[in-house]
Amino acid sequence: MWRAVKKYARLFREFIRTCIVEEMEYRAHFVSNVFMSMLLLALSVLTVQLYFYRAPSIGNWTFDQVMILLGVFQALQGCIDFYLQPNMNRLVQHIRKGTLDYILTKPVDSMFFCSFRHLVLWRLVDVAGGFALVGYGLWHGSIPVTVWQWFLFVLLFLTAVAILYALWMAMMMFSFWAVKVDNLSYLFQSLFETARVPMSVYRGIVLVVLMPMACLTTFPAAALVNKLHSQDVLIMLGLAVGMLVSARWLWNYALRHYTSASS
Amino acid sequence: MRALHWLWKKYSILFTTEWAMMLAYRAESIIWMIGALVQPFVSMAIWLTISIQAGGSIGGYNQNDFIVYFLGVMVVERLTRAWNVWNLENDIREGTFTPKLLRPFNPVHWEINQNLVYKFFYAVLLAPTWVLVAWIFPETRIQVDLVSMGWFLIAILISSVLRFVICHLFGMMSFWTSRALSMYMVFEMLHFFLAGRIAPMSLFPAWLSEMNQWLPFYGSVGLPVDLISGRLMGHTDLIIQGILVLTAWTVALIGLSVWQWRAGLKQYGAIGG
Repeated sequence: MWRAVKKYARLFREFIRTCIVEEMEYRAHFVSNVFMSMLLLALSVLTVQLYFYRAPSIGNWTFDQVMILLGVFQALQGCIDFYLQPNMNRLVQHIRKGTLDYILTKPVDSMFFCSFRHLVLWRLVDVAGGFALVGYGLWHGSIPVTVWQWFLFVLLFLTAVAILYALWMAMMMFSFWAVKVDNLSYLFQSLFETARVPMSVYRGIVLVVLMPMACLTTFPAAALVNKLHSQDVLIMLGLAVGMLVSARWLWNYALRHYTSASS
Repeated sequence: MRALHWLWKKYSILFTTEWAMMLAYRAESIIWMIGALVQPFVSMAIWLTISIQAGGSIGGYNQNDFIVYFLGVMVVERLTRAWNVWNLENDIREGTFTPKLLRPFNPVHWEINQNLVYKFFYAVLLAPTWVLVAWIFPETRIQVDLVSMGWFLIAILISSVLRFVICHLFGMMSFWTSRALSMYMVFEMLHFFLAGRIAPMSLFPAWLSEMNQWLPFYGSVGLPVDLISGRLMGHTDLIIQGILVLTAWTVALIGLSVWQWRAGLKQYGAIGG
């Protein structure tokens, strides 16, 4: 067990190293990418400011609390762009072109390899920007946070990352059966946009539909601003474990039905 | 006259070709459309929450008005949007632009027809949908006279041209830089913020909406939405001002794009192809 963990940690380090080498070819891009990502973050803050220009709170969330939520959204979005988006798009291509064969013959876990081989490192700037926004919200609103709340925040954030991973993985695995699924990721990204704002702005049937997206950002942020119910934590943890297990099972199931493209 | 006839013939052929290509990807087109409806929907949810908190109405908009406004944004956004920056950037970067240049007429005509095809498709889907929705939910009905409707169509037409030209300008930047798409993304974010896609103009701080009257943003989405939702009924001066500003920007940017096209072609050093 310990040896396996060490092996995969070493592999992961190796993935990061090759991605750094790749990225170093485009050094000038890095600077402009960082600049763009800061600019886009600033614009999304302005958007929230516009809403609060007319209202003291939105669905019982104050400006600073929404800033924290936006920070969580930004950080999660950064995670998606950091490892999910680049790997999942390649997975679809691997299946379509049959190059998945090469991965299956490697002596590593194919799901691990397909999930983490390509990392867009500069996207970590988005993650950092998101956390900076969380910090700003806490500081500006002088919101006191206990150690327990920090713990819950970190726990729920990681849970959200896990749920996103499982969701995305399940979505992309459709390509084992249907060829064109790139658009599903676009659809997912658009739906994820609904998580930019507190869950409490949605009502009725809409809330039910958007609930899975909205709780990904609302719950971690709620942990910091003391709006969290204890059942929320349990729901998130249960969801994450259930979905990770299903994703793993689905992967094995899909592989059994994989017939390669060329044969 | 002959030139016009020639153009008509070309365009009808291009249109049918692009139409067939779009239909081959109709499922994708519908997914793209649904995805694009999400953002206005989020804004709508936020403003509805705010107006309920404020006791029914805010900045002259009650809940009904917000629903109509953002339905308008959904439709106008789809009918005026342009996507050619992606194609142009890709073609110039990959060198697949070269064969297009060898054709006996400007590649932009293909882009124009592709754009028209999608808009036609979206119009055919969205207009009956709104009629159906309005029939079931009275909240979504619009009260608008024929004059506003006419102005609406004119505004949609000019705005379409404007947004297409802007996309073309950004796409052609690829002749000089590999960052054309990122630059366009920044413009898109600005447009998202200023064009009335997140809020009606009257809810912006006064100085911003004042300034915005002279920029190309308001006219491209906010103005058509205000026209179709009947906000500008009886304000002929405001309508004419809006249309004039929109037209001025369009003409100026078309001029710029012609110049950029000539300069860009000299710069273009076909990669691969």
